[in-house]
Formats: sequence, structure tokens, C-alpha cells
Amino acid sequence: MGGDSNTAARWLFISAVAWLGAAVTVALLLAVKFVFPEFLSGSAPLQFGRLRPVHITLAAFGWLSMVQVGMAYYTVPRLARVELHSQRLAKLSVLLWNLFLILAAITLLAGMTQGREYAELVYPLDVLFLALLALVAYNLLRTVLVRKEEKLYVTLWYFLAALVWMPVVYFVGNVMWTPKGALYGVNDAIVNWFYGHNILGLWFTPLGVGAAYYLLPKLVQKPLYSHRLSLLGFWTLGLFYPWVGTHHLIFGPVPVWAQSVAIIASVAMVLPVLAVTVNFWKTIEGRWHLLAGAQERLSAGDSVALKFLVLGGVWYLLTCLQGPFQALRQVQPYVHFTNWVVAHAHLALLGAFSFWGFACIYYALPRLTGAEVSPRPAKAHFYLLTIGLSGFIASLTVAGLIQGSSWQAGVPFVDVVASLRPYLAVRLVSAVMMVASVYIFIYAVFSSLRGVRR
Amino acid sequence: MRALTIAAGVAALVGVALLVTVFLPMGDSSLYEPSPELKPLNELQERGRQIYIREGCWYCHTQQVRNLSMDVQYYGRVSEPGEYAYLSPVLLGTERTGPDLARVGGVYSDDWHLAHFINPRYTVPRSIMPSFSYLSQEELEALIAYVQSLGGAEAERRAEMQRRMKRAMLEAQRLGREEEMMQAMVPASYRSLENPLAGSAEAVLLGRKLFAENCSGCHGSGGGGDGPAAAYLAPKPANFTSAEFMSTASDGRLYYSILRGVPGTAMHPFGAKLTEREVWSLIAYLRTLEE
Ligand code: HEC
Ligand code: HEC
Repeated sequence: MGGDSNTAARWLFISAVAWLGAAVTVALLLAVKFVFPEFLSGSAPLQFGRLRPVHITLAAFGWLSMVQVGMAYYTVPRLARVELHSQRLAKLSVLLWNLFLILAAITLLAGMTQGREYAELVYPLDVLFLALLALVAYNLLRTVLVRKEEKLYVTLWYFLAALVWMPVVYFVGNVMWTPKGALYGVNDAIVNWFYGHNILGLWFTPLGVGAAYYLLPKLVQKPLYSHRLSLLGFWTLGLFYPWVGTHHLIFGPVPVWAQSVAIIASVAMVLPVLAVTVNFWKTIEGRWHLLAGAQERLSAGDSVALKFLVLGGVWYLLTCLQGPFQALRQVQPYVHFTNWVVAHAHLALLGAFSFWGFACIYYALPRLTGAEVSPRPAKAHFYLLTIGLSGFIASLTVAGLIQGSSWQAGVPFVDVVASLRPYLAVRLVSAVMMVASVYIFIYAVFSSLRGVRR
Repeated sequence: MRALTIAAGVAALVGVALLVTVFLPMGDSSLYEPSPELKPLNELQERGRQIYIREGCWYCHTQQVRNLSMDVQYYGRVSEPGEYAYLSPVLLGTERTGPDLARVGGVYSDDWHLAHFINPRYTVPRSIMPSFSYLSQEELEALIAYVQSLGGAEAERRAEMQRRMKRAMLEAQRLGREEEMMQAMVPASYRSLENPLAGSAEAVLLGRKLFAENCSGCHGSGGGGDGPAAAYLAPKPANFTSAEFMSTASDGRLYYSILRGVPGTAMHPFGAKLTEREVWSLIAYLRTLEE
């Protein structure tokens, strides 16, 4: 495949990397504010409540969605053995996407928000996002429909499903039949959490798992352990995941039956997770030497891609086992509303899916551009991020348990706030490491690209 | 064809889930039945709510008292669906970096909120809440009106009582009859209490620490009634360095004021936040401040 037919994927990967830089920079400011609340205080756009949605929007709809769709632009034509339906439409989608993110950041900093978590953006931006999503979905679906390869590899199943699910989830979740973008009363929260959880379950998960299923056999040079098992995981994901949203409202002012349904579905999520996990580790079996030492068999990019992929698999298992556990009524009072959940969310989005995203870039970008990944910054990125993330998860998990048990014991609220300071300080140090690792990553990517142009 | 079948299959799966988990509750009209305590927001309060949304207060504060004893002990009665009937977006929240606000209306006086929004560390020295000093006077007023409305009719009654007491306090101050009024507010059973920890060096040390952590923003780090919050408060915080004040205020009266607060002023009750021993330690410390 010539260079031209890869342009959109390349643009998306590069955009994703740049937006990641912005997202983590904002994250660092937020982490500082938890320890030093007077830091950058007194400025409206830099106030915590304005910056927080910027961090999340850029990380979720910038970096993560872009790298995953970039991977879809990369893999779908290869798995279908045809050219992407329209490279021009794909390039248009990338341009619109970057425009969308710029406008999203500006409006959020200006305080324009619909007041719903993950669904903050004002109506015109929702419409813009849905339009570019439709563009992406149309292009990829058309490509799959005219494929020359008879077999539909499981990656395509997952991508297909994500492209069907996300427009529905986004439309309903953002209550797009009214420009106000919200319902009245507690149903607003129910819809909000149907949406909030399903951008994870029906967008990041299928795109991420699909990408992992593509990369794993390539990197360990061995076919997938079981196609049938992967399809079991696929259908159980579709069966259970869309039901779990209301587990964010347990003990809250919503019908108890709705909470129970969500809890049962959350526990059932163990099934698809196990299917993915068994498949994942069985495929790696016998190839561990590729991770340690015998790297001469893999290029520098592939070698670090494999590291990210495998460790991402560990984070994936951890976060997916936390999910059903947290949803239990016995556990909820100790973890809900606390920093435990912040750790959990980062384990999923930064641990599992972003690690797989880094694997995608280290694997695909050299193949798209002919760039060589230089091993030293790539390894520094991997190890520094891993240490930082571990510290981050550990400190916030402990902080969350302290909050939950102190509240249970009736400790005055402000005393609990004050007792978290050491843990929030460890989180800050961890955040500095993670942000530094991302800057190294950006340096690695852009310096390798500069090498190509020369 | 195969691809289209898969697409249809997954669409059906999400459709069924949507139907049951989202559209079924939407059709349940009992979830929209306004509860009798729910009061529609007036124009100023609604404006305050928009500022609450704009500034992202809801990322740090929930507005739902869950059906759990731990929530009830901090925040009061369990929240019911009917209390949210008029609200869109609903702002239930997901994180308690700060306390739940569902029933915070009238718990504090208006001027407490003003000083707190200008800089939360003025009233709560260990707070990590952001400062909202960049809001205009008019925006702050709206935000306070909104926060004071949280908790429905009950909250509005509390907030109204705070305002009435404030007017009475200021009027008494103007007439030079504040002392009389304060004395009358302290029940006889408290008036004669004596500090069991009086003179204990250990108590003074503990009191000094607690004072810095809880009281210094209003009463000043030296207890002179001149903390950074004082500029925003009326009536002003008590001056513990004043011999005149300290000689008229008995231990029992100080104890009662700290425990129950002084309604209508920024001096809010510390009864739920400090133990009996801690309050007496604070009083032992206050007694060392007189100049
Ligand atoms: C970064 C998180 C954060 C944000 C954003 C935030 N707060 Fe807070 N808030 C806190 C913390 C922590 C406390 C507890 C310490 C204190 O009282 O200052 C608190 C306390 C409060 C209290 C006192 C509650 C009580 O029961 O004592 C009120 C009222 C309040 N906040 C209102 C607001 C409003 C209104 C906004 C938006 C304009 C806001 N907060 C934004 C963290 C936050
Ligand atoms: C948000 C500001 C604020 C904080 C914080 C605060 N106070 Fe006060 N305090 C006041 C104000 C205002 C008054 C004056 C009330 C009046 O006019 O009677 C007052 C009055 C008092 C009085 C005298 C009451 C009387 O009987 O005349 C005592 C004692 C007192 N405070 C102790 C404390 C202690 C101890 C703390 C910390 C645990 C504390 N205050 C924290 C604002 C505050």
C-alpha cells in the first residue's frame, strides 16, 4: 500500500499524540491544585472546575479516540484487503476532528458547559462530533462491505460494533433531541450514566480490544489462541455491557430495581473479560522471551509495542475485576465518591486502553512512515510511565479507602480532607513522572518523523 | 452480508438495554412527581445555579444523600426522586472531594459563604476548594442565594432564620445591647460550666493547634478578631485579645457558643466537628490570648 492511502491514519496518530500532550499538561495543573490550592488561583479559565473537563475531553475524545480510530483506519483496509473506501473523506474527518477539539477546549475554558459529566460540550459541538463520527463509521463500514478477504477477523467484529454503538450512545447520552442536552429529574442522571459508562464499554473497549487482537498475533508471531473464544467474549460484551450504567447511582435517588439490574450485569461482565484474558495470555504463551532479552527478533518499535501491549493486558484484567467488585452493595459505601474511583478510571483509560494505544503507535507509525523508533526514549517512556502510573494508582486507591472508612466512622469532613494530603502529594509526584514520560514519548515520535523527512 | 448481520445484532443488543435501563425509567411518572418540600428556584437562585454549573462545582460536590446511615449522619434526610423534579441537568454528582450539598442551605450564614467563596481558606484554613474571588459581586450574590436554597423549603426556612437573627444581632450591636442578647441566648445550665482543663499546658498546646486549623481564618492567627475573612463578615468575629470581652464571657458561655455557634453570624456550630475535650482545650488556649 502506497504512502498516500495511509495519510488519514498517519494524521490521526500524530494528532492523537499532540492532544495527549495537551491533556496531560492540564492534568498536571489539576494534580498540583489538590496539594497547593492557591496555585494559579483567582483566574477563571484556570480554575479547577473549568480545567477538569478539558483534561477529560482532550484525553478521551482527543488522544484515546483518535489513536483508536487511527488504528481502525490502519487495520481495516489491511484486514479487508482493499483500499479504504475514501481517503478524502477520512482526511476530512481528521480535519473536522481537530477543529472539534480546539473548539471544545475553548468553550470549556470559557465555562460553556451542559453540566453533565463526559457530556459537557454545547449542542453545536455535539452535532459536529456526531457528524465526524458518522463520516468515520460510513467510511469504514463501506470498506468492510467491499472486502476481498472472505474471513472476518475478530478485530473487524469489534470495530464494526463500536461504529454502530457509539453514534447511538452519543446521541442518547447527550439527549440530542433537545439543544439543552439534558432531561428533567433523576432520569437525567440515569441517561448520563448510561452514556458515561458506555463510551467506555461500547467505544473504548471494543476499539481497544479489537486493536489488541490485531497486534498480539503480529507481535508474538503466532496465530490467535482461539477465534471462537474471542467471539464468545464479543457477544457477551454486547449482551451485558450496555446494562451497567446505573451502577454509578447505587443507593441514590433512582429506582432500586434499576440499581439491581446494573449490579447483576456488572457481575456478569466477568465473562467477556475472562474470554479476552484467557485468549490474550494463551496467545502469548511460549513467546515470553520476546519480552525479555531476545529483542533482536523484533524491531525497536515492535519491541516496545509488545511491552505496552502486554502490560496493558495486565491493567485491563485488574480494572475489569475491580468493576464488578465495586458494583456490589457491600463494597459501594467504601469506594463510591472517593479517590478509589479516580484510580479505577485511570487504570482503565490510561492503564489498559492508553497502553494499547501506545502499542498501536509504536507498531503502526513506523510502518506508515518508514520512521525508525529510537529505542532509548521509547524505553524511558515505558518504564517512567509504568512507575508513575503504579504510584498514582496506589496512592489514590489508599486515599479512597481512607475516605470511605473515615466517612463510615463519622470523622469530620474537613479532617478527612486534611488527612489525604500526603497521598495527594504522592499522586502529584507520580503525575510528574507520567507527564514527563509523555513528553519523552512526544519527543520520540516527532524526532523519528523528522528523521524520515530528511 | 455477514458484516451487516453483525451490525444488526449488536444494534439490537444495545436497543434492548436502552429500552429497559433508560426508557423504562423515563416512562415512570412517579420519578417526576415533585415532592411537597421542593420549591421552584427564583430568578436569582436560578442564576446562581447556572454559575454552579459553569464553574464546575459539581465535579467536587454531590447533591444526593444516599440511603446509607453514613450519609444520613453527615447530611440529613435521604434524598428522594421528587426533590429533583424541576432540575435539568440534575447535578447529582459523582465525587465528594468536598461535602454533599443537597441540604446545605441555611446551615451557614450568607456572609460565611461570601468569605468562603472569596477564599475557602479564610473560613476553613485546611480547605482545598478553589477560590472564586474572580466572580463579580452580583454573581457571588446569586451563587449564595442558590447554595442557601439547597434542601428545599426546610433549607429556605433555616436561611431565613439566619437572616432574621443577623438583623437582630446588628440592631443589638447598634444599641450597645449585644452582651445582653448573647447572655440571654446561653441556657442557664451552660452558663455556670467551668473549664475542666483550665490551666493545663497540654490543653493549651492542643487548643493552639485546633485554633490554627479551624478558627484562625476568621478570628485571626493571634485571636484578635482580624483574620482575612473578617473583612467580609458582619457581625465581626470576636476578639479574644480584648480584656473587656474575655472578662464578661464565662467558660460556659464560650463553650456553648463554640458548640452551637451564634445563629445569624458566621460563627457556625462546631459541635459535630470537635469533641468535648477539644472544645475545652480551645477555651484554655483562648484564655491565654488576652493582652
Ligand atoms: C476542587 C474541588 C472543589 C470545587 C471545584 C468546589 N468545592 Fe466546595 N468544597 C470543597 C472542599 C474540599 C470543601 C470542604 C472544605 C471547605 O469547607 O472549604 C468544600 C466545601 C464547600 C461548602 C461547605 C459545605 C459544608 O457543608 O461545609 C460549600 C457550600 C461549597 N463547598 C460550595 C461550592 C461551590 C458553590 C462551588 C463552585 C462555585 C464549589 N464549592 C467548588 C471542594 C470543592
Ligand atoms: C467563618 C468565621 C468563623 C470561624 C471559622 C470561627 N468563628 Fe468564632 N466567631 C465568628 C464570628 C463572626 C463571631 C461573632 C459572633 C457574634 O457577634 O456574637 C464569632 C464568635 C466567637 C465566639 C464568641 C461567642 C460569644 O459568646 O460571644 C467564640 C468563643 C468563638 N467565636 C470561638 C471560635 C472557635 C473556637 C473557632 C474555631 C473552632 C471559631 N470561633 C471559628 C466567626 C468565626
